[in-house]
Amino acid sequence: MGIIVNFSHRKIQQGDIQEFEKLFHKMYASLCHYALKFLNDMDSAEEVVQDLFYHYWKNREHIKINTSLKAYLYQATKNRCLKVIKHNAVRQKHADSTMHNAEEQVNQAQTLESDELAKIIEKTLSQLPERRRKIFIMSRFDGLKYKEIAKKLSISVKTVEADMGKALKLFRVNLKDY
Amino acid sequence: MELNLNIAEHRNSLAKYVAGEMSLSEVEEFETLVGSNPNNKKLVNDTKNDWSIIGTKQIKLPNANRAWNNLKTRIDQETLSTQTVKLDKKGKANFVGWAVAAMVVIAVASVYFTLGVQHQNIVIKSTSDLTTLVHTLPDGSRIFLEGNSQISYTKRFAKNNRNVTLNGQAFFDITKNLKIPFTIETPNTNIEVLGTSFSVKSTGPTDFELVVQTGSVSIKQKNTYAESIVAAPGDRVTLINNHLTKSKESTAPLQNLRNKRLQFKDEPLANIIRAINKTHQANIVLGSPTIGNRKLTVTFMNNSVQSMVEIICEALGLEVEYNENTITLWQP
Repeated sequence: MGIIVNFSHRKIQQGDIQEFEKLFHKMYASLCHYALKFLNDMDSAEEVVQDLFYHYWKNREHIKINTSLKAYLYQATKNRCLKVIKHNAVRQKHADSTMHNAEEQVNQAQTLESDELAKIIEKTLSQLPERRRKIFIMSRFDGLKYKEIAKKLSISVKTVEADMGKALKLFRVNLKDY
Repeated sequence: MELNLNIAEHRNSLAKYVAGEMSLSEVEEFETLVGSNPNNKKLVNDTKNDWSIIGTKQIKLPNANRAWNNLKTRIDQETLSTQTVKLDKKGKANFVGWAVAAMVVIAVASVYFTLGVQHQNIVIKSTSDLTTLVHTLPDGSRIFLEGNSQISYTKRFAKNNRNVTLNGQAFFDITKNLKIPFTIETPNTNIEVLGTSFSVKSTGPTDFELVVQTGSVSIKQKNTYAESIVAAPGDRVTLINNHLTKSKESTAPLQNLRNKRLQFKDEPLANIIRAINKTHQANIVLGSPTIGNRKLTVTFMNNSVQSMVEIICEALGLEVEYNENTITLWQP
């Protein structure tokens, strides 16, 4: 596995954009969900991951990877998220000290609340392991039958059943207060 | 029996129940089980409720295709500004220059531009795939360059001449200029026009085809004493047994273009809009004048006017307004 993945890194280093595109499509969604663990919304998560891929491509020749490419991308995503959090904290501090308009603050609080349920659902999705999340999205959002999901992912229907059960349990826990 | 989410069998059944994966007999059996304990009803209802909330809330899921398009545009733009190869006065590259060029081309593949300083040649080369590269010349003329084709012109183009060299296939939409005629040199002919549109294909000494869309075109075969031929709209000129021959063509070249993937490299928006208006007979106008200068690198996979407009708006953060016949783009 490690050998294959680093082979991919070497191909990308040599400028193989097709290999890069393959990697992007394989990893993008998972990395975004991972980033969402640290960040508040999917837009920022997507931005972080896109920036990461952009810089990886731009600096590909100088990037040395000692672990697997996958591990590298996860670690880099995490580092970038932490940077964003730090940056936002500074900005928030500044905003707090300058924002006098109480009405504005109230409005902001209201919009946050109405989006809260959606946020919780997004966060719960990002807490699920990769395969379980894929299965759940296929079932709930793409409307696929268990059988179709099993076939698509080359797994058994029993596995789909088990993952769906676990996913729903986590949702029940996270949505308990609503 | 009381249902418990910590028991795999229970939660799997519950999931199957809300997801509609149970057969009628299974549903019946499950509902009997639910009824056997008063606490079960709440759990089933809560889970049903969860399932419906999850499905009805606007959830943002990562969109890899859209993200890849954004990223590709960013990378392409970067590539354009870093690929510069100098050519000498006669248009012949020195060896080192080409070696560098070759390396860059191999590294980046795709389309490349070679830009130079004064007197040096500008070479535009399209890739071998099915996309059509749309390039606007300094005089406002547009070239729709088909795959595997190359066009070059000097840096002084439009100042005292309008000469280009073509190897391959392209559609030309030439801006009228009575003072400076537009000439195209192909491997076997010289073509001269004033202001017109037509397609040319010429990939080698014996291959030549020209179809006129509007205006008239004068074609002269190289290395012969034969007179030049003048072609009018609907005329098709080919090279048969080393003689230029005229016939009629029923399909307008512009019509073929409409089904191609159009590609723009670092083109100002105004040029892109003009090209789309031409090929699709659309009427897109810019509501805010300054946005016409904004540059964009883009390949349109789906070439309906609406989808192209959508991509442009998405990329440049513009708003769009559809009226009867006009589509207006403006900066919010």
